Amino acid sequence: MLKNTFAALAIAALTVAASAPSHADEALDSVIKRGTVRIVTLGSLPPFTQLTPTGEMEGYEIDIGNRLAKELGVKAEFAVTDSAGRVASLQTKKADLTIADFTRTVQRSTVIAFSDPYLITYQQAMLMTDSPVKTSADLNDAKYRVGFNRGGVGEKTVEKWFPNAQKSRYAGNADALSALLAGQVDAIVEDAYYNAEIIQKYDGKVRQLPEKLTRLEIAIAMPAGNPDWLRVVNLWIEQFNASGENAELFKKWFGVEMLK
Amino acid sequence: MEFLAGQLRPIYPYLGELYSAAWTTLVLSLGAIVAALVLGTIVAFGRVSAHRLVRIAATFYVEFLRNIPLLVLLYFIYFLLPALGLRFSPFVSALIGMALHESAYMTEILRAGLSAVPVGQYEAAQSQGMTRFQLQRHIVLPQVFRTIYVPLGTQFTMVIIASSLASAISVDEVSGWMQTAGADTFRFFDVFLIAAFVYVVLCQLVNLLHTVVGRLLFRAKG
Repeated sequence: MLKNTFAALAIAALTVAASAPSHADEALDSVIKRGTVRIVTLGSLPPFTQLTPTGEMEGYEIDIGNRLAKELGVKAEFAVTDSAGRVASLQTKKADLTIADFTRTVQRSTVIAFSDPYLITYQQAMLMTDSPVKTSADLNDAKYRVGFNRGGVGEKTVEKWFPNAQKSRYAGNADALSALLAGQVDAIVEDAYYNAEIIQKYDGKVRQLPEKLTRLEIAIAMPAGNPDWLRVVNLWIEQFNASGENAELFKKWFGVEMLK
Repeated sequence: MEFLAGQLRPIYPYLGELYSAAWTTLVLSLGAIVAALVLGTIVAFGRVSAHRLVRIAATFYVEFLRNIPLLVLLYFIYFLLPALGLRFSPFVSALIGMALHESAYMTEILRAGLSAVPVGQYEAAQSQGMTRFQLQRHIVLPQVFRTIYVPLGTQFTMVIIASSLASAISVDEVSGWMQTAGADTFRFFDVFLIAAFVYVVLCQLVNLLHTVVGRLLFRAKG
């Protein structure tokens, strides 16, 4: 009798345990079950991401992805896309996260979810060293042409700060830089860290205007409608920031201290 | 209808830019077509010239331009030529690139038309005492154009399609509009459809123009 009751209770307990849903949303669930987190990056944007000579990816954002994956107990899988593809890959569920120098804006957050920021930077104008332009206000003139990335934050920046200047839209940072170096535009608008990197690489040929144009909050993006996934990622970001691990990683890749 | 209006509402602010983008595509394409025709005619005559050096030069021109993707050509003209002192605006760069690229294909079509003119015509013209120029203008070219007019129309459509690459060198045409509006509104699907529709309309417009001009030029003589 006791044995039967015990058996019945054991079966009941097992049934309940087996049928209890994990109460996690679809994104978090699939990441845990699959054992990998699919992360999308921009590819060639040193030092955020770059390709090593052996064809692997490395960089500040790659490290962030790997550390987050480790905390989750899964493996990180990286893929490369362009600016527009960051949103498209999340909308089509081809990626679980993007860690792609992605600025969070209200407009963008109506279709995808953003974590808290892991990096603050500003858009600044970059021009050739021998350019006659002295301050950012000078650029707001119809005789100047300003280049920026299509469909990015640059659109709003140029509209706000240089409404009178002529506009040139390019497919990405590389094309905008080529245009600047070829003299097809008088200045380009990119984020300050990218500018610093280019200034260093091109050793005196280009310089940055000091005016901070638009404040950018760089954050991790994920598909909308997954509150548990967002909760988990935000917790990791908070700890990543608070523990000083972020500042340390940043210093390693950028060589300077983070802005606050 | 209301559902459609709601779906497209985020795109409304961008329709003004689409209008000017479509104009840019049209003007760019028509300009490239005209320039390519002129260039193509010159090089076509070069291809059948009596002088060997001229023939070789013309052949080089055609082979070189047909073996380079238009995108590479546009990048070369817009990003690289400034280093050699030749800086063109985005629109002009695209116009030059497309004209050069198309002229190579036009040359081959025109050459086919040239070879279709019967040899007897040349002899007859000479016996009439026509100069070389009169011969070309009154006898040869009209026949050439009549022969190749239909394949030429196909090339015109291809020029409009090729203009989509101009967005890579910052020309604000329809493809550029599509990428900008899509990235801003995230309505990629809707924006792609609208852009495709605009291209169809533009191609049909040019086709119509082509047919009408054809009727006017080649009126069947009673």
